[in-house]
Amino acid sequence: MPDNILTIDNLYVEDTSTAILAGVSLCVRKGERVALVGESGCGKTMTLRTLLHMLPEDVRIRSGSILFKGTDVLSLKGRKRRDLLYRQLGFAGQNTSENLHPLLKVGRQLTDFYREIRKCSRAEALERAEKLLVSLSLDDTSRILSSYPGELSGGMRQRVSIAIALMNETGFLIADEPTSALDAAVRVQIEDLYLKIAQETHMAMLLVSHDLSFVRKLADRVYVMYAGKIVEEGLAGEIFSSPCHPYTKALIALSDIRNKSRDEDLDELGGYVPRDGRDDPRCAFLSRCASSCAECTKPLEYRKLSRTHYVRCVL
Amino acid sequence: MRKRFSFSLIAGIVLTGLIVLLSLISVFYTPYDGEAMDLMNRFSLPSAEHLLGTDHFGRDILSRVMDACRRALSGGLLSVTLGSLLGIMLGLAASLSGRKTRELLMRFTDALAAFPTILMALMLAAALGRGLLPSVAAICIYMIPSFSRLTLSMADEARSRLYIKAAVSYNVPARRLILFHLLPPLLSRLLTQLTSSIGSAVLLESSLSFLGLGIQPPSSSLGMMLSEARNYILTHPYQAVPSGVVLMIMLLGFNLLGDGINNMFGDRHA
Amino acid sequence: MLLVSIITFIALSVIPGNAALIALGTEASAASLDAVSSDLGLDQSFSSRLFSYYKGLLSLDFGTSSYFGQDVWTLILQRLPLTVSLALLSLLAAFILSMLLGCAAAIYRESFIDAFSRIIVQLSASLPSFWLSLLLLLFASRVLGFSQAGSYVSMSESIPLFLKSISLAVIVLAVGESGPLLRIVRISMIGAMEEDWFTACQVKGLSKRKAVFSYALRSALSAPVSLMGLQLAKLLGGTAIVESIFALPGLGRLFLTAVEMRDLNLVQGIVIFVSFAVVMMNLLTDLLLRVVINPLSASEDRK
Repeated sequence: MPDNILTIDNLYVEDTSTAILAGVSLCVRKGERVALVGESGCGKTMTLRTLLHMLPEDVRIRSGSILFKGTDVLSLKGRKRRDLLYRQLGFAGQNTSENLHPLLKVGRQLTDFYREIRKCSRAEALERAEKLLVSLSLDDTSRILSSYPGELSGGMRQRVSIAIALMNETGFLIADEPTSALDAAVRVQIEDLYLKIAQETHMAMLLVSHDLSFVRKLADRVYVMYAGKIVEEGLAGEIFSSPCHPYTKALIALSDIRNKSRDEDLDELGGYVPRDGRDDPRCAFLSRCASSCAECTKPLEYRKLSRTHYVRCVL
Repeated sequence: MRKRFSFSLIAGIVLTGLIVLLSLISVFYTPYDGEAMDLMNRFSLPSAEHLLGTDHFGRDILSRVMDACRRALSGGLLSVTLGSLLGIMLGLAASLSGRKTRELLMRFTDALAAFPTILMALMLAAALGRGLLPSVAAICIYMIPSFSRLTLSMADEARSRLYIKAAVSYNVPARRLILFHLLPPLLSRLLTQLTSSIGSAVLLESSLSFLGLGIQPPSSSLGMMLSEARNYILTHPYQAVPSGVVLMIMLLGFNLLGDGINNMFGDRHA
Repeated sequence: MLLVSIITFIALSVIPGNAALIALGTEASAASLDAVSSDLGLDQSFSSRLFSYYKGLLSLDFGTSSYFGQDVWTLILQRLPLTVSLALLSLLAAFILSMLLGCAAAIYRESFIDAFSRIIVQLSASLPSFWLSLLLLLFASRVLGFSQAGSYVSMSESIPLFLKSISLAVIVLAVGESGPLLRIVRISMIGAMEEDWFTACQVKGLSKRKAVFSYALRSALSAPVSLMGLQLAKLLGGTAIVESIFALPGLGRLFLTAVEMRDLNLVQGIVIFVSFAVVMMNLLTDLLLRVVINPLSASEDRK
């Protein structure tokens, strides 16, 4: 599949005591917008961190491979990783206040890597940054460029993060929880911004999010993740119109709460994502599942529903 | 990554153990009288008769080093114990008292701490006279600020914890509060500080006696022995070796021990 | 912060009020005590003495040294350049060493360099400065063949010779100062490299070298700089031992002489001078940190 930008195959990641990811496989094709959804703690961010080599100290990769534009990035080190991986994607981090250096001006953080890669002058890089910020509907760009991250609002910082990811025009954007930790008004702005980027650039995106209403607007294809496994994947239309896995159904129902009136009956999802036993081939969702049956305790297959729609459930 | 018994801890225990042993033995036995002169036998190098040789008065260096070790150790322990007790009390008092007293106490310790160590020790030693006890007093005063600051910051931190707040709300009497609620969690950090403080106390004491302000002749002290050796450094360089090495082992031992204890209690970064 | 410094200064200045005792020592007989007291005007009341002393201070009049028979202020000024250059040079050396080694140790953690830097830290804390001085003195005379003691050349005579004559003392002081400095550089570099933005700036595609030297170093700088401020202040009064071993006529040695000779005015003058310098150094460091290193802390304080 030469048009795959990113292929993650059967990735197992564990820390000292237990498995965190138990066989994650996903792919992103050229120009495709893919979303990875699931609750906090299900392994979404850990998948990204594995890809970007940002794993915490005691976490290691047991098996699996990640191919990025044809190269196995897990084996890359130092300069090669930088040239083959980091310089060919844009990453907008989750927590902008911790991903930006507090003591360096925004302008510098937005341009230093660009200058290093393009070998261009400071003025050129700043000009590009300014244009980019304008296109991200920020005005007063010169003030933003010469201020410190702490002096900007959360929404502004989020935009700066996006700008950092877009500076290089890599054609592939990775965003970790782009809309979380923002208040409602800003969230809408940022959502619109992503839609605008998607329309204008047609760049491939990998979005990690638990915000399904946002995913529904933006993504072409969706992966649903639970307890370190992909439990369902499919085109956005398939997932949202005919979800198969009970977990997907529950997530969609919960995300619709906002659009419904409060007194409607809700399928609340009790309990938490289990931490242990993630490499057990049986259903990890069983303990929280509303529609379990006798079949459910057997090891699970990844079933094909259609050419694009797969599910890890007997139903 | 962190081992409970790190290399520093073991090395520290071994080195300090060696020093303590040497000092203990010196209470009962030294090969010679450390103050007896033997002018026929000056500047001798180590031999079967004098294991570490003799000094410019023909005194046995091993015996003198052993005596000096004992003095340095007891001086260090004494001054650190007194200094830490005073410091801890001051810190606790500041932590428990009202705003004004607290400010006053802390300004006082700030002033003490801001001042160059040696200068302060010199001044105190000069004011209090020469000898072991005045230098102990000087070092003790020097120790107070670091302990009171540490205690204050840690007691403040502990006070903000819920279980202390709960105890306060049950009307636990102040004395009980200090002894049973505030102090125990602080002990591990204080122990670390205590150990490394002994090292700096020993260093300070030997600096003072090197300058002639500490222990007075004919008693021996490591600093004084080095100061005497300095006069003969070009003609009899060996003179500076035994006391210097022992002093270094002593400091190294206490520093490593402090580091090791620090690691053991899982404090950040070695 | 300014308030703290002022209070510190006042608190410190009260100490020399007791200096009468210092000057006389405990062994002084009652008769000589009386004599010296009236000599120094000590028979006047404490407060009037203090008042006149402080009045003198305002016009830089520290009184006259009873041992040297000279103006205390002149004596201090005479000795100051040497001590200042000792302190600055040794701190500079310690800074360079700590920065290089500390960064290297943080980048190549758990490596040979890291282990080496830890050894340096331990040694620096455990080598008594006077012993190291003796060893260096021996080494210099035996191996390098230049004798140190008594060959001090002042700055105005010849700068190269001056540097040569203080070189050993600078080394000794630098070794002593580099330990804590190295330790703090290493710890804050490691801390910075564990921050999210450090990984994030590499994910941007920035080279490791730039990430370390412009990002990590930037945030790791403030702790070593504030420590250096303290160290410089301490060195101003803390060079006494080294100065006396290498026979360098600096401020520390002057103080030693003053203490030995029970020269009240001189002791008092130096104490006040040094404490003032300490306060000024703290202020300067603070200013440097606020303006250059961490321009944000000022606005954070306001919040």
